Order: sequence, then C-alpha cells, then structure tokens
Amino acid sequence: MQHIEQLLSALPEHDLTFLGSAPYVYHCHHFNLFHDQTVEDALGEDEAFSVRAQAAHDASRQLLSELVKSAGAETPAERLELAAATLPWMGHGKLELMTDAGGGRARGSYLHYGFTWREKYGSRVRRRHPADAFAAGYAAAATEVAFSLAPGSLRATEPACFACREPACEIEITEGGGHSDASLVDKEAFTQHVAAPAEGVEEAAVAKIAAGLKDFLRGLDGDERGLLQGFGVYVTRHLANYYDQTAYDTIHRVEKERPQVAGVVESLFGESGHVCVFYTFGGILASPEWEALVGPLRGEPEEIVVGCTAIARGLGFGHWTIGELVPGERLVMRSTSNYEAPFYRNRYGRSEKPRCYFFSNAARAFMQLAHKVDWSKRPRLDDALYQSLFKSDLAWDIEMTRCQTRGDALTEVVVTRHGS
Amino acid sequence: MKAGGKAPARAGCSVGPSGDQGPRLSALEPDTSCWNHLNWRCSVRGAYEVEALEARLTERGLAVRCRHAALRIFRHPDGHEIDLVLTTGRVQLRVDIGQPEDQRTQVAHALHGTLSEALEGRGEGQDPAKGQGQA
Repeated sequence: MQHIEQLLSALPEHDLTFLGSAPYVYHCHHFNLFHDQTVEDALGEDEAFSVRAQAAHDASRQLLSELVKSAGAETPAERLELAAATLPWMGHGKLELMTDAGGGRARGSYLHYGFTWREKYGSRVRRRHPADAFAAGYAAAATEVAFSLAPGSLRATEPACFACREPACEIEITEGGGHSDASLVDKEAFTQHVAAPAEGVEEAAVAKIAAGLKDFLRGLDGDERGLLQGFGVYVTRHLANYYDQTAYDTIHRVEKERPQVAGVVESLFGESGHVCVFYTFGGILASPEWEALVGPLRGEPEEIVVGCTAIARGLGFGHWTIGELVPGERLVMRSTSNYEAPFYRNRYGRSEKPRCYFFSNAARAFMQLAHKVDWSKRPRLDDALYQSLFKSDLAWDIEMTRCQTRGDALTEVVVTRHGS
Repeated sequence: MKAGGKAPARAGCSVGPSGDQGPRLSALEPDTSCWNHLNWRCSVRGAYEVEALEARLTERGLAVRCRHAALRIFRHPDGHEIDLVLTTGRVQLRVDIGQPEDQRTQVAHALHGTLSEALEGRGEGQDPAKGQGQA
C-alpha cells in the first residue's frame, strides 16, 4: 500500500503519528466497541449513528483528500480504488464502492465494527441496529472526494449489517448530508497544543521499549480480509479525530440537553481507558512478541507501569511519562502530548474542567494491572477477569490535577489507593 | 543456530540444554486471547535448529511472516499462525479468526501436531491443520 505509506509521518518526540495531516493511533476492537457503545448509550441508537458517521466522514475526508492528491489520482475510478484499498490497510475490513456523484451503495466485508461486534457479542445478544457508522461515513467521504463534491454533499446509512446477522454489510450513500462546519484538526493544529517533551521516571527503559514497539508495529501487514493482527490482538490504525469528535460532541450534547447524566457519560468515556489498557495493553504484555522484544514478564508493579507507559507511546497516544511511582500507593502520570487535548483545544477552545478522560483512566488501569493481576499465573484476560478487576475490585482513585484541555502546560493525573 | 528450553538462542551460536534428547512440545493450553478460543499456548523443551524447523514448516506450507532475532511467526495457508519465542521457547498458536468457534480447539490441536512433528523432524505426512473448516 505504497500511497498510504508515503503519507505516514510522526512527531517522534511527542510520540504522535499521522497519516498526512490526520492523527492516527492503534486501538483494538474491545476499545472501539466500548467507545461506540458509550455514544449509543448517551444519545440513543439513531442519533449516535449520525454522530459517529459524521465524525467518520469528517476525519476520513481529511485523510482521503490528501491521499488522492499525494497519489496523483485524477479520475473518480482511481480515487474510489484508492479509498477502497486504504480501509483494509487501516484494519477496518473491505468496502466495495459502487457510487457516482449522486451517491450509490457500498458492500462491506469484515467491516471492523460489525464483524467484531458479532464475534464478541453475537452468540449472546441479538443486535437490531447497524454497527458500521465509521464505514458509512468513510464511504460518503470517499465518494465526495472521488467526484470532487463539497463537504457534506452526501450522507450514508447502513440498511444491512453483519452484526445484525445479515450475510454482509450494505451501505447506502444519498445526497443531502448537510454542510459540516467542523474545523480541521491537523498536524499543525496538534503542534500548537503540546508541550516540550519531558523525561519521567525510568525514561531510558520506557523510551527503549517504545522504540521497539514502534518498529514492530510499522511492520504489521493487514491480511486479505483487511484485518490487522499484532501481539495476539486485532487492531485498527484508526483516525484519532474520530474518537475525539464522537466523545466530545456526545458529552457536549448531553451537558446541554441532560446535564444530570453528564457525569455518567464522562465516566463511561473514562472507562474506555480501562477497557483499552486491560485488553490491548494487557494483551501486548502477555504476548509472545513482548516476551521476544522485552523479555518474560515478571509482574512487578514498576515493570508493568513502565511497560504500559511505553505501550502508550508505541501506539501513538502521545508522550506519556511516569512522574512518580510508589508501588502499592501512588502513581503520578503526566503527558506533554496526547491525542485528546489538542483536538479539544482546536475544536472547542479552552475547557473549564479537565477533559482528558482516556488518559486519566488509563493511568488508573495501569495501577490495577500492576497490583491486582498475578502475571506469574498467566491470567486469561477475558471478560470475567475484566469484570472482577474493574467493576468490583477497583482499588484506585484518580484526580486530574492538570489538563491541557483546560490550558495547563501539561496533563497530569494522580492515582492513589482508595481511602488513602 | 539452536534454540529452545530455557537456553537463549544467539545468532551464530549453537546453544541448548546439555544432554537433551531432542525437542519436545509441551501440552496445549488456552492462552490470553483477544477472541474466544483463538490463542493457545505451549512451549518447546530441548534444543533445536531454527533453520531446520523453518525448512520443515515451510515444507508443510507455512510461510515465515516475521523473522526477528528473538521471534519467528509462521503463517499457515489457512491464516493460522505459530509464534515462537526463540529466547524462551514459548509458543503461541493463533487460530484464524474466520474459523468457526466450534472448530477452533480442533484446529489448535492440529497446529500443535504440525509443530511437534516439525520439531521432531518427522516426515511431512498430511498437514493435520488442513481441512478443519473454512478459514
């Protein structure tokens, strides 16, 4: 996938990665499904699909506009082909785009959200509403870019979804999406809201592991279905603006329309940090790749926190550092850059309160993995263990003491043992 | 280069537990998995030649997907993978996600058999991981 790889760039000192000007990160399906479920819980299925498809549309249009320009793709057919080839590279499955300037349809196979939802929940839950809002927004954006249409000319729905036990995903693209007035949050905008990278505790170890992980991730190839496997988990190379726009638009809507439940929604977006650290970070720590790159896991708290901090950098989450670690008692995590604050500041301005929900709750999950998991027993990181660790036995409180969304120089969270 | 057991493999060196009687694969057990019944764990005990193992697995239709100083990942034509940590002998067998859930355990055992045969240098025979369902 030469054209997309030519667009890869980074702000290496900030541990941020970009496709053209669009920030991207690695997240696995456990996080992705939980994040989108939170949008649905907050807004209801129909409105949530619109919010998610709009965010996907905006983020994908940013990427695809630059991609066709970079690749010199002139004709609609060339551009559609390029868009169809890019989605599998991102680990999102495959889309066959059958569209013209008036819209059309797309057929999806192994689309990330629908396919993984059915794999994870399909045997227990009958889903009745479509899951692939990201692919829908992507298809609308791809068609707009292919036919040089104005932003928001098209919209997309998903009348049939694999998650709903349909044989395949069907997406319909129609005219009349409405103008999107979202400002572009790009690499340049990111650089305005990150601080000079600082060193933290065990900096040399963190940096060395992170460098190894980045090298390894760069070598990952998707398979013929558009699935991307690494460290024993299935991951996506996902557009960070999608996560940020869906999370913050959802929270702002709830704050405006139903402020009494805003705290619950904030907590759920925070919990997505627990989900990510438990499944993705935990899966990486327990993987043979980790054993080969770093060494067998001993399970000491310092080792887990150092490892998790390095993983965050490796996945493109930003320059996370350990400010202070007292095993069994306290962790201070800092980030001079992450993928939440620059988006917030560029899109919405300065917040009155801290809003790095993912970062702060991920730090709490570091401590839970470091102290409550007996790694020597090779635990299975399954739903039962997740429920036990993060629903009934969560031993840590967090306080966001500084946050770049609020205008602070850096973001800082203090994690302390319950009742201390 | 030899690897296996607790003896770390180093490029250009032949290492392995002294007096071993050839490599053996431990019993299969479930491993941490992103998905139900997809990842399985075992370990290699005893010394073996990495290059010879590669050759035997290649004869059985597997390809080397990752060649790292401390790691090999072999990919089966049906999408399954064998991850082998050269420094510790740990093995993770990854059944392809397209495999129906009720067949995953069977496929994992078949992959275990394939690897075991390749380690012991036994003949190609029929690939036991083939024909276990649509990947």
